[in-house]
Amino acid sequence: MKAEPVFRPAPACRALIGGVGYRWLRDASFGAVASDALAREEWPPGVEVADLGYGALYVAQDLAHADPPYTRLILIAGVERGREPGRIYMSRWDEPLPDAEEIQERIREAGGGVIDLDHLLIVSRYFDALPEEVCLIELEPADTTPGEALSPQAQPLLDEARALARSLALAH
Amino acid sequence: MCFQNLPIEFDEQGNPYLKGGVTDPYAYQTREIDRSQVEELLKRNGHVKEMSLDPVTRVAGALAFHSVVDLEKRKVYEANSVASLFRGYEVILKGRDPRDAMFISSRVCGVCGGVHSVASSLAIEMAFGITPPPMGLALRNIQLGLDFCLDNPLHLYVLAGPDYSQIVVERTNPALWEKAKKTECRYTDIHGFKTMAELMEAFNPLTGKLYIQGIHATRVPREAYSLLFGKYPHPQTVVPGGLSSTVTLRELNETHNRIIRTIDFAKMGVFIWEEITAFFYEADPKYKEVGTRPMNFMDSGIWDDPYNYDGTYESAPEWGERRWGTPGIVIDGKLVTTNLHHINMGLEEFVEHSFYESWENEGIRYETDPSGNPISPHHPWNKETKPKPTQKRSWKERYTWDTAPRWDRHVMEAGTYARMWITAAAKKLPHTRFLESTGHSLKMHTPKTLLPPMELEWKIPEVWNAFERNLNRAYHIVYCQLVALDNLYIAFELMKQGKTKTATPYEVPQDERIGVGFWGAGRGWLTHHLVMDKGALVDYQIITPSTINASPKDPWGHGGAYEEAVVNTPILEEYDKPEEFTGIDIFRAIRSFDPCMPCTTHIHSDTHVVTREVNTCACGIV
Repeated sequence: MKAEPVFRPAPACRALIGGVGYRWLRDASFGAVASDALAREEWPPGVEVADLGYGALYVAQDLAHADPPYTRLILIAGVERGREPGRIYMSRWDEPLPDAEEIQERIREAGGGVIDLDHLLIVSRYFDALPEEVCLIELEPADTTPGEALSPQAQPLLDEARALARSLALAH
Repeated sequence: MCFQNLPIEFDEQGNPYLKGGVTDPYAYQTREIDRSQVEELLKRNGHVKEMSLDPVTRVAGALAFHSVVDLEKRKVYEANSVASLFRGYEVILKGRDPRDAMFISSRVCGVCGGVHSVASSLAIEMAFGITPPPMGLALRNIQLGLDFCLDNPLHLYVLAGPDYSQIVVERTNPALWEKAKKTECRYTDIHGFKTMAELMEAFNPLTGKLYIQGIHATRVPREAYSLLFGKYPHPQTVVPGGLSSTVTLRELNETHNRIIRTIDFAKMGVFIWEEITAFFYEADPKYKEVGTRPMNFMDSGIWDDPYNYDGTYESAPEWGERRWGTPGIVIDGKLVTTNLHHINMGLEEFVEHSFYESWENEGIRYETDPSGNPISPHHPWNKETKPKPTQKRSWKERYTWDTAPRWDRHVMEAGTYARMWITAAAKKLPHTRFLESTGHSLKMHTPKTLLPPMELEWKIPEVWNAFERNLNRAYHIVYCQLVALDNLYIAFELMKQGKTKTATPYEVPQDERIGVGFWGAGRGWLTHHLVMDKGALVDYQIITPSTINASPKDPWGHGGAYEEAVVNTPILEEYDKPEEFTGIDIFRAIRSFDPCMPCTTHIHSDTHVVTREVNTCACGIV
């Protein structure tokens, strides 16, 4: 018996969880490690997981071309911002754009292959590619030396980051 | 006789041998760098200034530049190119399983990782003794044509383009800007800009039409690249023996659609850069000297013939000349060889002015290549990467993390133009569906897209400078699209014949093997040389185009290509006071090479790794 095709309406909320950063740099690679783990989990329709460590210009292009557009973007990264290391910091990103010179410099760096969470946010916003809701799950790294494993401080936080990403992605 | 400096001669059958009666054939005397005149000028004349561009912006990665400029005589006396970060990949790869190499070496560059994956796979295939099937080769060619269709527009419109924008020209050369307002464009019917001023406005960063279009132009080739390579910029499917992905008619059709969609912007780009070049030459013929240097080019060739390639070192001269990009060496504008053995034999790398130790005192690994041709102790198969950071950068001693690759001890240049120059001059291009090598030009027969079909012809230029480099890059995008399209038709044909196999299985040999991947990047020459034994890499050496172009002085005191180009650049900028000087002519000269230094973006110190550009020499953080 031939099954009847099932047409599902596009989910009202389309969320993207993305890891940002280089690989093999321990805690600086927290975003890539987290998104790899999240990609192996089961997700309902309307939630996608991706490694967004491929350059702000290109991520911005992909966000802008998403059809239907994403309504929520959850970014995970290990970022040094001078906070207490070995902790997770969650925030909503709604910053104004910097001046034109800084935007141009960030586009230039992104085009030159630099992977950076702030480049992704600013370049994407400049090209009007960010969804309305942008949430950041950041690890303040304890160790950014070369290596595949996270630091002993960061490793236990991986589950916390995954849980946070899940709850943000599924929240109404 | 292609060698003028190395002691290599050829017998009647054309077999090379080392000249007899020479005790130490590759020995050389280093020449001390004499800066006394420059130091005297700096001391005595207020108008002679040291200019440190650190970092050089709008290039990919960590490049700094030091020069001594006479603002009164409008001359550059001295130039030093500085790769300010250490490229540690050669060290990282040592001791690893060779099957890791294409994934790790891809990370050498955040822009063109795929070219490293392929160069690495080629080196491994040669060492393993395997050859990818025709479909695997055709797909690699398609993707690595498309990669450059992403890379080159980014340079032309985002990195170099702003040097020719209204914002820059109006500030640095007001008279030129006035002329631009009155100069009508020659190709308005194609690109739509009525005057040169209008065209220059389109180059303005962030707001200019061409700047924005240049960014958008990168998306479609990236989509096509990801279709077969899994992801950009670090492919997941390039493996020794071919590609790990399967291919169906759907992927080929989707790729076809995307190649066609990129052609119009590329066609238009040729006319945009023809306009820029003609305008500056006409405004002041001295612009022909901006970034000029001897016409010495090297290219290792790229895009293998899927039906005529066995990947062995022994047959390299034959399969090399079947490539869509003919390998070769040009000295003083004359093509001296297209033979990959000769190209490889003449290659040496020197570290007298770099932050590395020499390696010769540990014994030389190989005196000949696998075909019995002589190679130097400074050849990549003999070289060891031995970083030696020093606390102080000195223009007389050591000042960069780059090395000085030379061919037959000549200062060389790599680039898209080297690839096209050699292919045009050699007249050996066997693939004539869209391309024709005439001996003095490369004709490109482009299909009809939204713009009509066109026969574009890149002619070997009479002069060599910054403008010709950029102009060539515009033609190179079209060239790459046609190579990709030609290979796509081959892939369709292979599919029709049921030859869809994309990879050849292999086993990792346990005995001592060597291999080299002769390939090319968006900026030209790319080689990966490896030595392996007991299933692990013993040595791994990478020479990128920027290793060649950004090189420091060699043992004989000859500066690298950037350094030569800057020293030869006249200062044409308008300024009344020294503080108004921006150095735009120097910037145009350097950026015209499309410097790509991301290979230096990971620096290892005892305590941490820097993953982005830094403003000081790397030795400062060791």
